[in-house]
Amino acid sequence: MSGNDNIDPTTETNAEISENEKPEEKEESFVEKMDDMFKFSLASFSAISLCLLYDTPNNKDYRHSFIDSLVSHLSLSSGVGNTMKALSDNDISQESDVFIQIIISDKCMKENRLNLVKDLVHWCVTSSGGKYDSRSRFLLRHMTWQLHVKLEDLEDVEETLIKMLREQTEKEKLENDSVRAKKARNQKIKRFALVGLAAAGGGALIGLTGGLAAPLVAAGAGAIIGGTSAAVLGSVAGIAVITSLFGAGGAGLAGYKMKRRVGGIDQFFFSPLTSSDQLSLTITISGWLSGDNESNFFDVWSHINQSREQYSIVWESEHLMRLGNAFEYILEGIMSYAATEALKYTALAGLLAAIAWPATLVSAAGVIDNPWSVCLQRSVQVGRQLAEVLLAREHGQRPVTLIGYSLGARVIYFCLEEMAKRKKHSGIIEDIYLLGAPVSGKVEDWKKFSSVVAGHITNGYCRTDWLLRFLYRTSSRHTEIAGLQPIAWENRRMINIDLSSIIEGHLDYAKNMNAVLAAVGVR
Amino acid sequence: MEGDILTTLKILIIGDSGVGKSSLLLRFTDDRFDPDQSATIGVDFKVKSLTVEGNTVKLAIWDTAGQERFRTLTPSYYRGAQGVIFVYDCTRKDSFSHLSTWLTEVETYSTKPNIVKMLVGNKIDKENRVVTREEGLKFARKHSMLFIEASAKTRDGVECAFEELVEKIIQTPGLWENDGTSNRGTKLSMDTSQGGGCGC
Repeated sequence: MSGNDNIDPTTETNAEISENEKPEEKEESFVEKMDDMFKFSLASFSAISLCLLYDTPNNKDYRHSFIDSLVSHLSLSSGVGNTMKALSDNDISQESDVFIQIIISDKCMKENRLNLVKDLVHWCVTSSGGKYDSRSRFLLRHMTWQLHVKLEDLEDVEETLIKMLREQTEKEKLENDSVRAKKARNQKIKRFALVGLAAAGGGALIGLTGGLAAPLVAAGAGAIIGGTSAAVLGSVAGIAVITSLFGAGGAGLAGYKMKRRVGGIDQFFFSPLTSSDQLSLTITISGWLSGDNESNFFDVWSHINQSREQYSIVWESEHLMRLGNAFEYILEGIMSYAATEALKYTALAGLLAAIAWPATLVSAAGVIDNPWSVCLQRSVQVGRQLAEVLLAREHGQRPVTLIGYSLGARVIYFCLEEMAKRKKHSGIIEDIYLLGAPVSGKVEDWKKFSSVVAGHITNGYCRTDWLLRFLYRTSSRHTEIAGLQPIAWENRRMINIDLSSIIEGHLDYAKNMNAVLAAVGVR
Repeated sequence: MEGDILTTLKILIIGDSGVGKSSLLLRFTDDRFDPDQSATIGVDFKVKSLTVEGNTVKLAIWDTAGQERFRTLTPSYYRGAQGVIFVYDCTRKDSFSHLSTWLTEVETYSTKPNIVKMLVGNKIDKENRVVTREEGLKFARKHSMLFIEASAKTRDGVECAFEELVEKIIQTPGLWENDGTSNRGTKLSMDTSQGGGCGC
């Protein structure tokens, strides 16, 4: 949300038109139902949450423009805005409990709590002309959670908004078309107008079909949320918002083609895991391929349901296949069960630095060292390529969650590192999940991510992952590896999860992915 | 012009609706008077530096809403306040008689036992005064408060009220010395919110 100045000029003209045309249809908006006390509490709660989540000085502009926008949305006085800014800057310390209590017990929340969520999401997306900042989304997640609203409900609200915007866009297109073709095609206009009407109100649809269409309408979240779609959006220019949210090209990530190659990447594209247009999306990145096909890019993630729009990155399959085969050769071929168990306990005791590796393992090292070092190198470049894509907003102005294991986690790490170097890197990434990551575990290397990632940075590690330790045996530089230990960063973003009880060996990150994802809190 | 800031003091302004709390603050911070001052929503917050006897302090002043409907909010603002200003309107008896209610509230919610209290009788420029200076003084003495009569409109006594209050706070041992770091109670709720992002 970078202030109101980005609002498309057409938004305002549309507002006037729609108000002039149908004042009697205008439903009382949720803001009009709020009293001063409620508005003030809501603003205070937002300001305190902003301070809690984004207290660093580099987020000051974001905090203040968020508050400016919210205060004008709630039609509160500028004096209140100043108080809220002071509250968000932590000039004054205040607890949010009392405000949450007031909000929850207010009469306008009694009917349906989702009305507030709906209002906030709509305001967040439309006031900025279709920019859904990852910080705003995480803030909304935080606030709705505190108001005892489920995340699924928030997602339903988001999904409904997209539907409404799509309908609105259809309508606008039809209106434009009909104006253009007025004289020539009188016949068609009638048909267009009819379609436009049907899109405008689900209620009318039910009436016409005598309830037959009802299951269709109810399938959308509109049923839970209530209210007629067109009336709620009213003054918003659907096309402008949709274009901003999903990127101007319209092709999105699935249609993304590497225009400029970074480094020597041979393969890099996005393949959809689930296909739908949502207000937020998840990108998964695999760490190696087993067997001789690319199915690992998708099979591993088959149960993931983190966002309703998800992609998997297909990258360097040739090298990842070679690595996967080497992993399997070592873990399932040459190493005996007893040796593996012994290594696990040694790794657990933290003695590996001093240990003499088993002769069988050392003699087989040549098999794995080469593909490993090639993939280490490639994953850095793929990470930078991913950063380019995200910074260019190829996915539109929407928050992104990244999930990756092994070298896929390394891709994410270097993506973040590249983003941290650039300007305008805030507000894109929502959450990060790194599983068994072959990257530095030094706190210093992670601190710079605080301005890149709005939500949580989850590091899933395994203390007994001796293969990962073995791969780093020659590197004196990297004694701290994120995939082997927690990252001791005191920040609300950082979450370390010990997966030692789930992960038997490095290969389990792919084989046992569902249990791993459940353990780190990915749906 | 000003030296190092000694400390930041939290000061609260309370009293009935319409007695002129916001006007007093506006006069003090901006040296302005707005005859059409609108009712405060929730709370207003202003910062001003003040030098008293060579010590510069930063004042974080909270101007609370007097209206009954915002009364549920007020208790949450008392935490950590070192000084409180009670305001009544010299031309309205009810605003004076309600002072004891406000006093109870301060005693109930204040986290500092030796919080410095000041009583300000506002609007002395008006002709139709009903609360005499003696009455005010008597109430202040009884409850060991500082007392001053003032007019936000004519500037009388406004600066003096804040200065005296600050002077008294600085002189009170144990009220402000160890208050450099303000710990946020909300940190706790943050920790519990890290449950992997699931909303329930």
